[in-house]
Amino acid sequence: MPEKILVVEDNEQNRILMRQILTHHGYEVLEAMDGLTGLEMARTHMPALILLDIQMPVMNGFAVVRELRKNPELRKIKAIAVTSFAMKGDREKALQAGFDEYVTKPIDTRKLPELVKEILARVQS
Amino acid sequence: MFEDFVETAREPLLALDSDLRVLAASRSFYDSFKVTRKETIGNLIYDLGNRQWDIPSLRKLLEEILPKDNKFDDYKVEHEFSNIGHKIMLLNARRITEKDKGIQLILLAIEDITERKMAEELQLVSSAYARSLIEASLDPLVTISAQGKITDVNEASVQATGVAREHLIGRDFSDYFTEPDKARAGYQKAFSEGFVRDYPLAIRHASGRIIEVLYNAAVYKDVKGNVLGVFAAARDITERRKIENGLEKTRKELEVTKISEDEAREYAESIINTVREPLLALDSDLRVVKANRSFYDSFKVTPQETIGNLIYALGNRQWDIPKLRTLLEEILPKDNQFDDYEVEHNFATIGKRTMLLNARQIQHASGKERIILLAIEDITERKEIEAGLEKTRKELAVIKQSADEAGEFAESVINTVREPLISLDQDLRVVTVSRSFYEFFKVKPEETVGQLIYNLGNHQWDIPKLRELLETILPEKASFDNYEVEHDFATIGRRVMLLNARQIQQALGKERIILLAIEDVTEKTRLQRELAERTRDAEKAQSEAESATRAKSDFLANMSHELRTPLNSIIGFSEVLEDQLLGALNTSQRENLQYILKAGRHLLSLINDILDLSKVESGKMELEVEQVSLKGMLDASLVMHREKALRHRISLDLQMEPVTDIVIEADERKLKQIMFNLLSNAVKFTPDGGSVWVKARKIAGGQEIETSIEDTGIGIKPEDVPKLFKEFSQLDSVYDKKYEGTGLGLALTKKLVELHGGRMQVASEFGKGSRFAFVIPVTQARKNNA
Repeated sequence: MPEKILVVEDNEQNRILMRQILTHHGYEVLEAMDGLTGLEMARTHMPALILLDIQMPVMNGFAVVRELRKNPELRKIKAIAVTSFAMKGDREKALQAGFDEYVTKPIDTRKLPELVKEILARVQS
Repeated sequence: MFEDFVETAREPLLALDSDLRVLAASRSFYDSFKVTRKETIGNLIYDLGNRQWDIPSLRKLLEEILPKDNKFDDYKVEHEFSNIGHKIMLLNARRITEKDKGIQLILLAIEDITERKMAEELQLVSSAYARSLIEASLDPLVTISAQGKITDVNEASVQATGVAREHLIGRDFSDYFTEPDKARAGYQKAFSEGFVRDYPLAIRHASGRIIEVLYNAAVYKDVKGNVLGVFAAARDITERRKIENGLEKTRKELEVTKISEDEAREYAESIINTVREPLLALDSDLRVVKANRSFYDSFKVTPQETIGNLIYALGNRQWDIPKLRTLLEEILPKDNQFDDYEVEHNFATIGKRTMLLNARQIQHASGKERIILLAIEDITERKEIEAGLEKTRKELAVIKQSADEAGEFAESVINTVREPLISLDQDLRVVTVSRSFYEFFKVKPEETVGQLIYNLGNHQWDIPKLRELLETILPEKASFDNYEVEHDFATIGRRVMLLNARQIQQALGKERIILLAIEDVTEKTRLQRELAERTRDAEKAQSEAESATRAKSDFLANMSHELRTPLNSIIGFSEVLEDQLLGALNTSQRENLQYILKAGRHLLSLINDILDLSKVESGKMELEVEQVSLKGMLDASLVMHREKALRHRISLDLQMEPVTDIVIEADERKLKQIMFNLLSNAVKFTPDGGSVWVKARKIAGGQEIETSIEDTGIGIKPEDVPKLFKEFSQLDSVYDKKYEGTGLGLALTKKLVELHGGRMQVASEFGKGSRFAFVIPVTQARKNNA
């Protein structure tokens, strides 16, 4: 049974790119176009990992991860922040908000699968 | 043989060989110069006494003069010896050849003339001193030769004879006396007896006046005792003679007058009572024999308590005055008289008095008794008046002088200051005007002085603000500075002036004077206004430029973000295809994909660089300072280029001085960015098989780190070096097209180095290679947030 990864990203092309890469590496990929939808899908599908874009309409990545971490059920879902607008201190802010890792766009298509694998292997803290 | 001779010589003597080494020295040499035989014989003369004898003039003597002349005499050498101090020596030398021994030797005789020189100098000084004494003497002084000729005179002699010095000298001494024979006899007596004392003579002054003198004269001799002449000093006794004559006359008159005691007493009494000044007659025991009315009146004493009493006992011992005692008991018994003896005394009855005492001691005709006449002049009032007068006179002089000085000073100030200056009287009429005033305001002196200031230059000066200053402000405030007046003058146009005004009360009198200094600030004001305008313009331009820069930066930041998103797709999908995640590709598909990827990555680095540059320019780029291991940073940077270098067979080496690591304060990511740019350039521009070295070392006393990247690349033409750090200035026109880059790398690198407070250095030789270096401080100035 392949592990489920939810990609929450408003840009369609980026979603497709992620899906192609992750599918190729044997994951089941779910997609959402905004934060609120992403949160609902997380509740219904309980993925092992969520790749969360930070800058999104309706509900941004930070808000989503905070909701996840509040919920005892959802809090075990791993989350990686993906941003195209890296600012000083963003990484710390992201980790503090509850993300497990933080990557910047453009994503390195060759490193992403390794990172995902590594995060999934991490023991729940 | 000569050694014996030398050693026994009484004056210091040295024998030297031709190499100037000491062969022998006299005992007196050792004694005089405090050197031992051991440290002398065999040594070079210059080395004697710890090289104290290395005297430049001695060297000249021995090495230059002697070889030429074979001898020299009385060569004066002055030298400061460390052990025996300053010496003046006369050196005599002979070069002789001893035939039988066949050697040449130099005999050097040294005469120490220090003492003699000093004595001579002392004599010069002392004779100058004596001369000044002679000249200062009020007595006529003269020296006379054995032939009776005047050999020297002083100024007082010139005064006494009325004959000029040059005419006196050489003339017969006796010519200037009423009795030449007696004068001649006088100096002859001095020559024969050695001296004469109180020898009376009368000098005939050129004007015919006779001056009675007493001569004292003595012979003077040279050091050997030979008599050189007579030194004669005259004392003018004309005055004394006059007094003596007067006394004699008085005495005679008295003798004649006082035929009998009674008569005399009567006479005395009548004199005493008629004179207006207080008068006392005392007997030889200083008891009052007689006092006149004025004495009783002046000193508030009665006849009963006066007559028969000791003078000191008068008026309750008020007259016991020390100075009076001196007068009566010491001076009078000797001199028989004194005049104008000033005595100041505080009397209990009449207060402090100043008196002039005249006394005469008169022998009574009978012979035994003495009588003393004491005339007392009370000069207290006169003194006071005089003192007051003197004081007033002095004060007046001071005031007058200071007034004169002040006036002169003011006048000179007025005429020397560069700014126009004018002084007005209290009616505001012009008193003085500086030259610059005339020049500046184009007015003539004749139409200025004495005029009302407002009327100057055809009423051009009738300025309301000036009226306000002179008529309203100044009467209340004695001084006023920087009063600005702007006025349109018919002659010189619109002027802005700063007026400084001073109202001065004249020292004497009630008049006041107003000083008005005028500074023309028209030009200054104009410049200030212009400057203010320009500053405003510049500030406006700057703020416009700043907001434009900000707008540009914001635009670039937004643009790069917007560009990044599609680029993300281009690169990402290309990589997915390249990795054949979606199936195999044929060769030409893979090639095309490479082009897309390459173009995409180039675009991405362009966007990144543009974004970074705009951040630096807008000041948004900040350093994240941390402790950075220099070696770690450099190693990491090298690793990123190893693969490419290996591919092109380029050696890539790191050298650090010191070899151990250095920890510096810097933004590690930005340092890596700097290194990345410089290293990728070096590797990129170095042909296959070349070398790239990275060297790091401490400089500036350990305060800075210099990191250089050297390559054996294509190099840069000197004229292109200045363009290197300009944006988009890739030197592609000259260099091979294959070296592509964004053209922003070095511009950004330089900015990042400068952000660290550092600097970039470039050295390059076209065709040979380049050396890029950046120097950054070891520590960073902390910001507030640190």
